[in-house]
Amino acid sequence: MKISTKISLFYLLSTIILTLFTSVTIYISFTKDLNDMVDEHLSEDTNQIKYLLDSNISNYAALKHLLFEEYWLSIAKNGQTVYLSDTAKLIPIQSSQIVDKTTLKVETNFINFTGNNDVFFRIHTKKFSDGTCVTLAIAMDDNIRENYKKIAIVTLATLIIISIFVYFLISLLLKPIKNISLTLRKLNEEKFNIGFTKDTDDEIGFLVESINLTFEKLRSHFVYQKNFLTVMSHELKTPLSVIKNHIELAIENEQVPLDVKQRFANDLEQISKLNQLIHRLLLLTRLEEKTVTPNFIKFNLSEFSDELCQFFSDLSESQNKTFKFELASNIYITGDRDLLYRAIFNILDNAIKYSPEASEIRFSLEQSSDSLVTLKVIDSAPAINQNIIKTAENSMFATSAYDKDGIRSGIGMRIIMGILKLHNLQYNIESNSSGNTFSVFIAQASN
Amino acid sequence: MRILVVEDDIDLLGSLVDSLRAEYYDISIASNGAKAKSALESNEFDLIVLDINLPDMSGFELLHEIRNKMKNQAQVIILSAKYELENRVKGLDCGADDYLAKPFSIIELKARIRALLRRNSPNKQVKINIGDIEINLADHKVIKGNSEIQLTPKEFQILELFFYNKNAILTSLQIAEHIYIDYFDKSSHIINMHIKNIRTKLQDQSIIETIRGVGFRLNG
Repeated sequence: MKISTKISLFYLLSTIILTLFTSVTIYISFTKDLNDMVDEHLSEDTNQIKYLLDSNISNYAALKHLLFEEYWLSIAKNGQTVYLSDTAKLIPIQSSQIVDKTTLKVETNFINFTGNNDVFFRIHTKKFSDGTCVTLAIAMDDNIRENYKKIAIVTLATLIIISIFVYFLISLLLKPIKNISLTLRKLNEEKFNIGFTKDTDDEIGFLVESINLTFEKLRSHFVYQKNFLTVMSHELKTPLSVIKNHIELAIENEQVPLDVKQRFANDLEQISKLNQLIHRLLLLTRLEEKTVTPNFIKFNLSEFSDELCQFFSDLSESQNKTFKFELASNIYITGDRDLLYRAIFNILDNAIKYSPEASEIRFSLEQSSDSLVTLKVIDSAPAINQNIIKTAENSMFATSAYDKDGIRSGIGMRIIMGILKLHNLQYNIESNSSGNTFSVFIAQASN
Repeated sequence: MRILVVEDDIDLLGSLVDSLRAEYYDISIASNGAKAKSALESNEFDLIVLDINLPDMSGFELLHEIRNKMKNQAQVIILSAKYELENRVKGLDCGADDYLAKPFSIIELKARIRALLRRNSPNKQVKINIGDIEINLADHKVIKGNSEIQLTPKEFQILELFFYNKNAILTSLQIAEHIYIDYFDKSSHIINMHIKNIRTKLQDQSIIETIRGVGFRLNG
């Protein structure tokens, strides 16, 4: 649930509770005052009726004209009802019930008449010393109750409207936080090259300031890390050259024994491997930092693939593996020739390297449609670890993944993915127990 | 042939000088840009081996001055730790004739120097003979006795390298660095295969001797 919704609901609920508490208190207090006032009024009228009765002994008919017609009136003597007003006759309440209830004390109560229309009467009974019992009741106006209902409805509606308003107001206030969240999601692509504008001096402004500060530190860290790798890689090259040259001179030297030369030859290979690793790490860093500026040119992919096939045919033959290729002719594409060379080289190299001896590796370049070419490499190698693919696809912050044998590092795959992404090329990797099929779909360049 | 080696790393400079002097080149050295300019003003060189990272100025700047201010047209090979294509292109655009990424093989550097010096030499030696085998560098032909031997381009490059380094041991890696742009570490098996093919085509199994665990040697 959104924060704005939570705050609005909290506001609505707390306001309803507060309003209900206040309203009930006011209602109870107000009703009590009203009833007291009515009771006082009825008591006075009861006295007046008794006075009139005393003046016109048993002339109850006169009362009809003298008394207030709107009153529900019952007069009893010695437990017997001797007079009922017209209103009292209409309402089917047993007068005896009323009389029975009466005492010397003044009692008040409501008579609730349930007919077609609900009528509430405030009743007041007074028993006089001569045995006359006067019960007087007046219909209570229900407007008060109705007004309460109206007030409640209006209050509730107002609260809902205010809550909606509060919701939008809070949404507006929280909009900078939403913007920050959306921008933070771009972190993968932007690599901390993002900043936020501080629009306000409130808490959100302070948050923006803090985030910008954090990003600045992270950015510096990344730049430092990147530069460190680049500088160190380049700095390593000169001592490597020196070592390499010394080893080469030692190998040329006739006085150096053969077994020492063998060790030196092995050292040369290690230097070469180290150098290749430096190259790959540098390329990977540049791909992931998006500092590679591709040189897009139109070139003949068929000829380009043929060059690769010559190399890999030789390589496969030397490793007792079969390399078969089928290349559609005169396929032109647009891309960075050098980078694509590396990507396809890596795909083929992995296919040959991990396929068992006497197995077959197939490479094809086929025209899928008028505008699309599929480059496909099918090997007999063990299935590529899905972790390596996932890591390569989501390269930022990813550590190197290794397959279960610990042989295949993810660097090569990450370079392939990085180059394919740079060219916006779609690819598909299918792996099963018999091998892997790596397909790359490339748009043909227009003639 | 006079060569100026501009390199600030004393160790690398030392090994370069030793290797190149062994080839009977006349070597001068400069450990920074200022010394290189001074040497170029007072001497004429056929070739300059120029490191890009110099303490007082960039090798690119120095090359720019050499070409534009000093109007010096000596051949220039750039040595750089940066192997990326854009750096190679930048180097060549600045007026270099070749670009070699560190860590390079001294055999490869010597091959490049030879190729560049041959390009401008009035007495171009286009044929080299060892025994009854002759290779023609101009049209890439190999003649044994009276018959022409058909070698693939890679096989020709390997044989040429052996001819220039006869009696020297060449490792698979050094050969691979000479014939492939990159990924030398994958090439030892391929080099073995190429050597086997060369021996078969030349009908001489002993011309290129295998030095077990080290490399190969052409005995001339």
